[in-house]
Amino acid sequence: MDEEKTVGFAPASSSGATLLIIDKNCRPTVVPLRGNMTLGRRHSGPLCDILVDSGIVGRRHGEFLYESTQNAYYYVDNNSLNGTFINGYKLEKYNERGSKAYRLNDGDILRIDRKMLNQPHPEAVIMIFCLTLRYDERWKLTDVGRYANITIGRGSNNVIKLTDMAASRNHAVLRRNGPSWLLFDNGSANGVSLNGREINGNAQVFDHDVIKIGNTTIIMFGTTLVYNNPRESTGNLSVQIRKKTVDFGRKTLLRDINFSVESGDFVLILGGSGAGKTTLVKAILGDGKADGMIILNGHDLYANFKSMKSQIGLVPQFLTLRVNDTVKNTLMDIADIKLDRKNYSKQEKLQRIDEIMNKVGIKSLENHLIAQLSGGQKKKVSVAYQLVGFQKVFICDEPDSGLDAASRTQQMEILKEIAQNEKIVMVISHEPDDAVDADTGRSLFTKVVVLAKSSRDGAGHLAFYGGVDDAKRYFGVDKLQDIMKEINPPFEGGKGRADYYIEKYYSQGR
Amino acid sequence: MNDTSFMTQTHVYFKKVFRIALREKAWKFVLFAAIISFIVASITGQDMFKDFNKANSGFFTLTSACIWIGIFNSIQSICKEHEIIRAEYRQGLKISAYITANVLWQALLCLVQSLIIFAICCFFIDYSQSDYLLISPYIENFITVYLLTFGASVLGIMVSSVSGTPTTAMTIMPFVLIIQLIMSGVLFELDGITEGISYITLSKWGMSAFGSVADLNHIDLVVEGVTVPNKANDFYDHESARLFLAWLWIFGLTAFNGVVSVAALKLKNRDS
Repeated sequence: MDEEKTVGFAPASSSGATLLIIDKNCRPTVVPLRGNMTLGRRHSGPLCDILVDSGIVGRRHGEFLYESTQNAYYYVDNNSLNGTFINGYKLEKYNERGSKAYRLNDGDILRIDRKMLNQPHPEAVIMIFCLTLRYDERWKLTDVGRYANITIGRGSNNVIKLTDMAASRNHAVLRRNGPSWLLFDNGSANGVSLNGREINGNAQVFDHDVIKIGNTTIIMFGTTLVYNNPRESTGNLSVQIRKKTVDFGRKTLLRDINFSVESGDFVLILGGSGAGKTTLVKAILGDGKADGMIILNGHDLYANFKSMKSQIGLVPQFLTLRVNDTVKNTLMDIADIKLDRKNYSKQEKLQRIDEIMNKVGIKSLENHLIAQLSGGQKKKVSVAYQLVGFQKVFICDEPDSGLDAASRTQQMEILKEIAQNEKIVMVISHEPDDAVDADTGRSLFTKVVVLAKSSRDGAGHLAFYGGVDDAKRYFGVDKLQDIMKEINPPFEGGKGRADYYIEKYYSQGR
Repeated sequence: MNDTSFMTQTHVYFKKVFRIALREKAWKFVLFAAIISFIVASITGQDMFKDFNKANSGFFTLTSACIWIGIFNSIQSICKEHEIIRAEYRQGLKISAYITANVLWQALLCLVQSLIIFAICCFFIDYSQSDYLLISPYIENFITVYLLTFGASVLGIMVSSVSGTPTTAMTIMPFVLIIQLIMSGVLFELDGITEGISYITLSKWGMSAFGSVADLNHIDLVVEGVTVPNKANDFYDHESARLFLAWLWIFGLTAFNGVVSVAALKLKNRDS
């Protein structure tokens, strides 16, 4: 009998990282990480920020340290008696104060246990560092004691039935192997990781091990499997560009661009000609790699380009679809490319593209040739095309260009809705003030990136990053498009205050 | 972990290329092939085997026509899609599957074209005058026509893959055609480097195949009404090995051009 429960705890900040803790009671708890925090055993002395009920956790076992310039968390073990294992490796003592600081990535598994990980201590503790986990995530506990084989996947015939679309129909199977289990990947589309490492075919699973399938985390706890039913979530995109040069380093196009975007954000990219908007977009896509890092959910895009590139989609300014094909065929073909036949039935693919066509409002056009569509309809097909896979970030280059005011607003509303479905949408637009909520009159954008070209080095710099209202106050304007007048040079009809705003932004330590 | 397989993607793209080609009126290519082969065969076909010069220039014209038809089929097929390929490559497109799908479509289109070309040629050219080498002079000539047309189509795909835009491809096309015509060995005597280069042209091996099937070395040369013995050309030897070698070269060059197409597109999209 499955026991389903919503775990109670303090709500985490939507923008912060969280720590999923599973203690000896097999009870998942999510703790929001807010800056530097200490970890220790619940006892009568001075209390730590994060308290764990376990006899093998030290009174001041370790520390989570927040590095604001990198927007990253590090973990240090304070030379505790039992130490801390991260993804199966024990942190070694570095000096008298503790271990070296370990930079945490989304999904990293921290475990406090005795030496033999395949024979966990009854009071062992598992902690998972998460950037995407929500405080109201629902967790299931399933007793698997009676099973010799535990099948896992989206299919209804599985013992562990997942709702996560990133999971395949028959994704994996656990086969009992004496006191442990053998985990087999059934040739799934997105693979299986065990304790933070992708498995190749099969791997041995011990008590307290953590299996990750798509966005689902499964933890083996004796005869109980603990797993979540995650919503599709993007997490956090961190852009850290030191510089982007061309002509063998002779010309710098971008310099010192640092900002971080959260899941659900609808971001406007503003900038005059030559300020580096397109260069920034290419850097985020990885098409024109910059000197720096693009971190998506804790993973560096440039270092993992082949596996991560498909998570960031571009809706280009000009149509890049075959105009003599129908809308439905176009979407079905890309579904066939992205979603392999073994794991997604034709029916599931048809269902997905139907959902997408309904979402972007092109269902009635499914049998039309793309050549027969209006400019606005073609843009919607481009958006739908990007939605077929499991992209997390959408970058739209002037999705409203060539459209009338009503269509521009409608297009932006669609993109806003996509962002609200736990995605990140970034838009270059020259008509940002048309993107307003029809009811409230407020801007649909949640954040604004303003790029300005410095007269000192000729490179594009960040002149502002923040909320829409903050942006208007910062530049002293009533409309977003008036920001351009402030930073554009006089020969382009502007006030030429780009350098002033760049310096102002840096001086404020943003 | 599983990506969609090469076979799946090839199937998806073949269906797509086929569907779009029909919508873009691919029958025009078949019509062009029919018109060109009618003009060529009607002018060169009559009494073609009575004189070496007539036979030689007749096969040269047919070779040139096949190459022209093939290249014209595909010269714009890839370059007009570079931006689309870039976007799809990012989504998981396998370049090799994409090129294979285009090559398979060309194989089908060229089969239809070759059947029409050869049917029209048969109407004007009496192939029965040749002795067969393998099966029948009809089948041997048809296979040569097909291999030449298909080989030229893949050559067109290669040029299209290398070219950045349709304009560039159309600019390169005449040069490719001229090289094919000059290097056939029919218009000029080739030696040294030029003879070496001729080995990588479809026209040389097309002429060799046609010449060996028709036994051109044993067709007399007629000069001002006087019949004189013809100077033998090794590449026209009436031997099955010679014919096989010519077909093998055409096939090899076709495969090479396919590989170059894949490499060129991968290079173009290396940062995507």
